[in-house]
Amino acid sequence: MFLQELSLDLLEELALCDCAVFVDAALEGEEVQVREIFPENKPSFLSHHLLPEQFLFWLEELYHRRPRAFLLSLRGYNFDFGQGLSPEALASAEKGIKILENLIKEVQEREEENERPQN
Amino acid sequence: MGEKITINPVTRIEGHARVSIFLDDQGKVEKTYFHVDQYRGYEKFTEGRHFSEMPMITERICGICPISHHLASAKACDVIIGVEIPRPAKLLRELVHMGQIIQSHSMHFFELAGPDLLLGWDADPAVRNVVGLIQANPDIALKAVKLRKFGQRIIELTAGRRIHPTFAVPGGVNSALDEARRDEMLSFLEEGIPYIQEGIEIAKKWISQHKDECDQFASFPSGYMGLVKKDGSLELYDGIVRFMDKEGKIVREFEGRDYLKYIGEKVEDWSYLKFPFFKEFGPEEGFYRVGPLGRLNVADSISTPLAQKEFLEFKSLSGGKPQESSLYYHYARLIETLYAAERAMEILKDPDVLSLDVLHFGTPQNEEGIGVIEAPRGTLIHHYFVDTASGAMKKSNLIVATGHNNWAMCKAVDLVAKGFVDGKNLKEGMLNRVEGAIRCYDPCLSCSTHAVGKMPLIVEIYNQEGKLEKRIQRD
Repeated sequence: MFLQELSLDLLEELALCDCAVFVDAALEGEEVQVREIFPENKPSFLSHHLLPEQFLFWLEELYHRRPRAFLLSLRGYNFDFGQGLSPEALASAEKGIKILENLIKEVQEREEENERPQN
Repeated sequence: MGEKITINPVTRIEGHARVSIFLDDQGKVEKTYFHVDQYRGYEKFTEGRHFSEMPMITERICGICPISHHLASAKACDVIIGVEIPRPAKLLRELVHMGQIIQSHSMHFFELAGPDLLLGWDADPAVRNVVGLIQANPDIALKAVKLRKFGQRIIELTAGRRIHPTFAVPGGVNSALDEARRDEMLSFLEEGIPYIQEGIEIAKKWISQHKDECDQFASFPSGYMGLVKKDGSLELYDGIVRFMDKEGKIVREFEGRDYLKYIGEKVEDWSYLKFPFFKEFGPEEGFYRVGPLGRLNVADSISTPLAQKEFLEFKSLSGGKPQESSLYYHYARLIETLYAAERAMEILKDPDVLSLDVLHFGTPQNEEGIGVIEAPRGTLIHHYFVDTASGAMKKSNLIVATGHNNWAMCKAVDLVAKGFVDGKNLKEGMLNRVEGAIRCYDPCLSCSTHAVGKMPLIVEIYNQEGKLEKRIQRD
């Protein structure tokens, strides 16, 4: 799902998921970062700005669902007006795609492992 | 002049603003200012772009009401190419607009204004938010989420995606609607209308329980402006601009393209947001309000049955005079949400809505194009100047809904600060009421100034010598 921002209306759809990966641009930090995130009440004063942890918190409060969730942050280097990605951001995005593919594969393998009958 | 209190940023609004409250020696409020510190740049950096890109560029002004900019821009572009768009295209544009009204208005009532009304002005700020609302009334919260989703889903099913679609183009729209998507929308709108009605009942109950507060909170006379249909009923997509004076007299009706004859803009050195005024009354007396309260005040009726029933009840509260209290914006917003849902259903049942005749092609014929629409927060004007040979934008002027309400928001915070803030015994709930006065108008400061940024909440109190005495920060 491609979105410009997180908002309340997405809760219903996330409630149907077992695992969610939030992919977003980062202003600072490593070129590519991935970490597991958990529900946390971190209220934002602006409706434009909603943290994924807060989003998961609302999901748990309202729909009693707690999917596994990861945040994949891709460092951006130029946020000035312009078109297209900077070469550095493009490189981050390409690395991020590979990490995302591996992450999905890993989660799927773990789920299959968990679903396999235990002897 | 004694102390100064700063509320920075104002919370639960779209965008960033700051309020300065100046106190006298006795701690009483002397004057309050509502500052918008963001810088507006869209009008400048669109210069040189091809005019047909404008619906896609200007919608980036906002993540909440991008559809308003998208459509006002497309309407201006229609004028540039000199075509009347096909009726099915007009229906589809209006449909996505109704989706946006539903999602924006419902989100504001439940997510931004709801905590104050349903949990109380003086409730602990730690719980006076969406989480507190969810915990206090999960059933209402679930319905609010659904309503927001229904509005966004209308946009997605009609225009391709929820935020920043590429749907409206000069001459019409670039995709038609099919039966499956139409039927899905009809189905969830049937489900959504009772939720909106439930919201209206909550608002009415709250008003009846807080009648004096509702009638007095940031209540003041002003002019009012909004689009109406030819018969004088509420209109949100296309219509004539009606201006009403503070007595409730309709003083002017004009086409949106003539806005410069009637609307001027004043500048103050303490805010980046300009102060529009009605030229016939001058810059000192010509201030007016737009948005849900302004629209219901200027309208004679509403064309859909359920909303019309609520409209009559709303009108009866002020005995036929304009409703002056800012808190009634919340009530008016819900009535408009009901209209938007009913109107969306009317459009979806229109046989033309499935037509493939959705676009008339054209090339630049006119150097100027003006598009006017009623955004959720009020009248939105896009005015473009184009080089017809190349199609390049030479200049643009955007008057955004929140800008029209700038004076009213300043007046509202001043009145509420004078009524509630006691500088010698300052409590958080007092400042929340000042913020609440602004929230009535649901301002979108990102729209009105188009800036980016992030801020914590800082309250600073200065003594008579201008020395900082107390500073409270909320990250």
